[in-house]
Amino acid sequence: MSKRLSILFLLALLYQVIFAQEGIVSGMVRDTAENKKVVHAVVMLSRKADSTLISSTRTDKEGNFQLHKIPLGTYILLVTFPKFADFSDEVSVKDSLLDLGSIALTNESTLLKEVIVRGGSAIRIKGDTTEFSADSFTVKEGATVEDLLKRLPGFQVNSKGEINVQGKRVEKVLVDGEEFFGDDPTMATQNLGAKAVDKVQLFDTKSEQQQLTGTSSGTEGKTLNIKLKEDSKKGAFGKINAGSDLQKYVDAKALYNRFKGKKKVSLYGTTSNVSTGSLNWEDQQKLGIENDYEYDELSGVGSRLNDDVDDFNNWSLRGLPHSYSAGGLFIDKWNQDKQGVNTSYRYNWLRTDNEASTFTQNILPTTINYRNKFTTSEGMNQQHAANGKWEWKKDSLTSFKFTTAGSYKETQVLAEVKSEFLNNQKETVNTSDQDRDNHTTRTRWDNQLLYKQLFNKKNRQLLTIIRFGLIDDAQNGVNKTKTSFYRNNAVDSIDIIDQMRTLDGASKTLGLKMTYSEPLSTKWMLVFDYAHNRSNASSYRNTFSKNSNGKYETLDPVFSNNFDLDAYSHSGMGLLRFTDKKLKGVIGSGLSSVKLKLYNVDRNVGNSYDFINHKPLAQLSYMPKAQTNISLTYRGTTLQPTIEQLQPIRNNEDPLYEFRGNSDLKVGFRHGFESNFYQYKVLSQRYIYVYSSYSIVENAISNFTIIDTSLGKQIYMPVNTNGNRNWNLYGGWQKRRGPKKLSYGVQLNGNGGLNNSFIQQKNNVVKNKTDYKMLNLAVSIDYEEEGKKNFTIRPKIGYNTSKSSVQSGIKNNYFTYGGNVNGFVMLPGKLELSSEVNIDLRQKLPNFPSNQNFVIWNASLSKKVLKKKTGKIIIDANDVLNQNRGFNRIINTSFVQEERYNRLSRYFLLRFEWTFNKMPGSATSK
Amino acid sequence: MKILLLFPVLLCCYLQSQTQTLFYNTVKIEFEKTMNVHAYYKELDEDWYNYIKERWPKRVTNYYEFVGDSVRSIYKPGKQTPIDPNTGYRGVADKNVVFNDYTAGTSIAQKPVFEETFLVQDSLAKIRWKVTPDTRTIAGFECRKAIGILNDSIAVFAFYTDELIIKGGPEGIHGLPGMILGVGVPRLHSTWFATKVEVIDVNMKIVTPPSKGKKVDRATMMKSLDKVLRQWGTYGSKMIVNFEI
Repeated sequence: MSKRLSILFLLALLYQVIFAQEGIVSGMVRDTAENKKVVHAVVMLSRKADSTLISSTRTDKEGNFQLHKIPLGTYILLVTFPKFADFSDEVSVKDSLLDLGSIALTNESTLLKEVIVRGGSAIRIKGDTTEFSADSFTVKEGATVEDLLKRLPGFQVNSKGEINVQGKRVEKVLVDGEEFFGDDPTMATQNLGAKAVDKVQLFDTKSEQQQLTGTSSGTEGKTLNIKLKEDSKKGAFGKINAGSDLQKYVDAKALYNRFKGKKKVSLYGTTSNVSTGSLNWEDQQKLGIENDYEYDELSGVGSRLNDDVDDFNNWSLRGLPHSYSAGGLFIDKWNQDKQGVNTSYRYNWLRTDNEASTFTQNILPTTINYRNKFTTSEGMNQQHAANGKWEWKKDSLTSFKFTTAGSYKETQVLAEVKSEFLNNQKETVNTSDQDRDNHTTRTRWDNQLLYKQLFNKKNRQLLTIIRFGLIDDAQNGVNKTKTSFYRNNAVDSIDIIDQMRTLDGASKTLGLKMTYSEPLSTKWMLVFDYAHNRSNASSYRNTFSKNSNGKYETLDPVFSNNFDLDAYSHSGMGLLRFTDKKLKGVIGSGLSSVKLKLYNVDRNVGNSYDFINHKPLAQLSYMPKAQTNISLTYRGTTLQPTIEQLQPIRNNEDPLYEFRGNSDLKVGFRHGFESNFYQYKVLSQRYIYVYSSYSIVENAISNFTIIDTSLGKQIYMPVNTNGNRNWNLYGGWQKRRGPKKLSYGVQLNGNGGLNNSFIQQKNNVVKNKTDYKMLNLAVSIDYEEEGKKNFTIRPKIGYNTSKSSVQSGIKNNYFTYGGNVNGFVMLPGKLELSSEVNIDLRQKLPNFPSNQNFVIWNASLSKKVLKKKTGKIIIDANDVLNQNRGFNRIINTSFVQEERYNRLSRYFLLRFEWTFNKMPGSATSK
Repeated sequence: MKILLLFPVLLCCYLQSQTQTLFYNTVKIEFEKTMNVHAYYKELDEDWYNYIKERWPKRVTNYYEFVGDSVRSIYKPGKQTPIDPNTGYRGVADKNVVFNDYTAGTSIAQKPVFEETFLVQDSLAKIRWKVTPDTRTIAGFECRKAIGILNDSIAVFAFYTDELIIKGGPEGIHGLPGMILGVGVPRLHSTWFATKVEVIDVNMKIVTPPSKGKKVDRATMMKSLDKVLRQWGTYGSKMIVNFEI
């Protein structure tokens, strides 16, 4: 029995010895000099094939070590101990036990000291850095950095890619000052193209202590820094897109963009009679057109220089367009991006033909009446605009930016207006026919110099902005109006206006603003702001009637007004800001004094106004978690009357609806409260946001309307009123669930409020309060399979209500319905089909013409062609159901208005798009 | 005269260092993590980089505390650094807590990822190391450089010292013969360096595994991150490396 067992045991042992896949490596480490046991020495085994660390251990009290479970094979044994030279040897683990016996370590101090050679072959020495200019050393085409290094004096590169310079090993290779580039430092030298290198810098590696004390122990290694060329990119990009229905419609654009290093030149041109020819955002990005947007951190408001440049967008288009545009851009940066210029020019030409009708319901204390207006107009706009920007970062603390923008805009409008005024019985009170020919030019030039100074103390900052602007306005218009007043359905009297109006206006503005921020601690900061603005303006508005010669030379003093205006303002602001990881807050206030000096040239009378404006601000925001934020804001804003509102100007452009100024206007003040919440859960892809605001205005500037119902004439002027308030709300919830799954969203928005105005009918003045509310709810469902298909369905419903105190019986309540459906599908043969339907249905209002419902269906079918898919053939179908019309509904305190105007309806275009992209000589850097 | 006096002192020091190097079993280390924010985002998304380069700090520094011995260790956020009120920068994956048990070969890591906090319970991170002859002194300790590949994909540079007998390092980095005092991860443009090493009176009581979070293994966490981040294109797939360390 026991014999059998012992045989089995022996067999098992034998099996282990013969067939074992793993073994034990053991040994002992000793110090050669003193023949002492070495305790805590590190013993490592690395696989010889790839030098991967397989096992490591420490020697015990006796200097012995054992490494277990070592797979059979060949290894490099490495024994290390502080202040001793490494011991390294090749070992083969062939069976279960390998005893290496005694391993002797040698103390470093007994090794021969290395002779340090300090380099003398400097190309350029900057402090302790030796710099080699890469271009001075010729290398063959396609050479790597390593090839370049071999050519540098004093450099040696061995077969493994290890670099020795001036007898010292290079410990670190940096690329543009970065310690690690790619996954291995030698990767940088072996894969980076020599052509991409600007300079090779060599310096001694110092420890932190050495850097602090500035002393050198002479034992440091070398560090190599490879500086890449600014930008070794050069190339061109272009796009041509042309479409036509082969009959009436054309839509074409061409973009070209060329860059070499930091220099970039772009050109573009468009022509179209389906759009205004303005470039979309994507094209603007590609061309490098910048929207020069300045954000004022103090007020939290962004602003753009020369703001009225963009009159040629499609969004505000009314009527049928015909357009041309062209432009160019030049960008350059130099001196390591410290200096740069960006200049651009553009020209726009736009003609619009429009037929519009406006239906207005006036709500009066005792009655209702109607005014209907039909306008046929032809507008011609053209504009030249040039922009320039120069930036200079003098050093890390000081920077300058100069921006200049000039534009010249010319507008000509020819209009034929017919209008009728009806009483509550829908009987005609008056009719009018008007011919208008108006020509306007505006020249504008804005300049701004920004100087930003940072200091060595972190977050201390001084910002100075100087602005200088010029505006020159000229206007010349002829207005021929024939108004027939009715009594008992018969023409009672006729009023004829045949006048020319001219405007000659100019203004000059000079402004200075300084902002200084001072950190009080790491969490508290003070911000001060001072601004001074002055402007000199003149406005000469004259109206002439025809004299006996039939020329417009007789001045009509009632509708003429000539004045000069000087405005001065000083404003200051102080803010205290708190910033912590989760909580942020701002509190402070601004105060400004404005002086307006008005001089009436006609009457030789001067008049001056003084306004004091306040701007209190308090804001608190709390971030309980990442991607979650709650904030509350109070902002007080002064509402200063405009000079047009203050001037007793009378304007008879529309003699039945005349504006008058009011010199008694006071400054209004708006208290605004806002709350904001958002939460974004990244992993569950859920997004929630809720925003609400409420504001109440003291001395709001509202309308005072004087109505003469018997003649159908209205005069309106601005007046102060109290009690205006409104609220705004929007919120949403969205849950995305990734591709091939349905995602959902809900959006809610609403607004409402109370507005006061005054109506005078005969000698009876009534205050009219209008209570209004609007609520909209939309639900969205999305689905996406990338590159294959996607669709979105977004139904919506809204309810609008409005009630005026003067006629509480009249309710203008209505529902809106509709929504949007869009989708994309990749058809067989790589045909891309996309389609979109927008549905807008509105309940009709009593007393308004019907059909306010639109279903707009657009679709497009395209296929990519040519090698590399650079071409695209597209068939565009716009408004397939031919229902597109411009529509706008306004519900105001004392009137309800619907406006309809021309919009381009159904058309089909066959388009071809071609893009090209050339980037020769791009850097080989990865 | 002075030199004469100094000489025996120096000699003494020299002899002492020669005969006995001190080895330590327990340590408390402060790590300073520096991220080159600009370089990182430049690689992630050039357009985004152009936007942030004027607004975000060039480099961001965070501190961590490592306490451990040869059996177990904890790595967790250390002293706070003040945040710049003028920047909207928020760090990614900078609040990890990692508990390693070297004898059992297990790791428990608490990783806040966006709105979720994961408690990753798994074996120790898999890193293939190659030890190099290069050395460098970190926090007064002579360190040897090693190059590692984490999960067969992420390159890691590490400097470890023979004098500290702990096989740990910052975050989940481990597996070298001695304590890792310096780490560089090129893909994250981040480095971790020990700035303070304490070896006496180390309180090992605080070395307890984190317990809060959604319990997952490494593969499950990476799968749920991948599902979302992959939709962000290359930005997301590069971003994911942050959570793998």
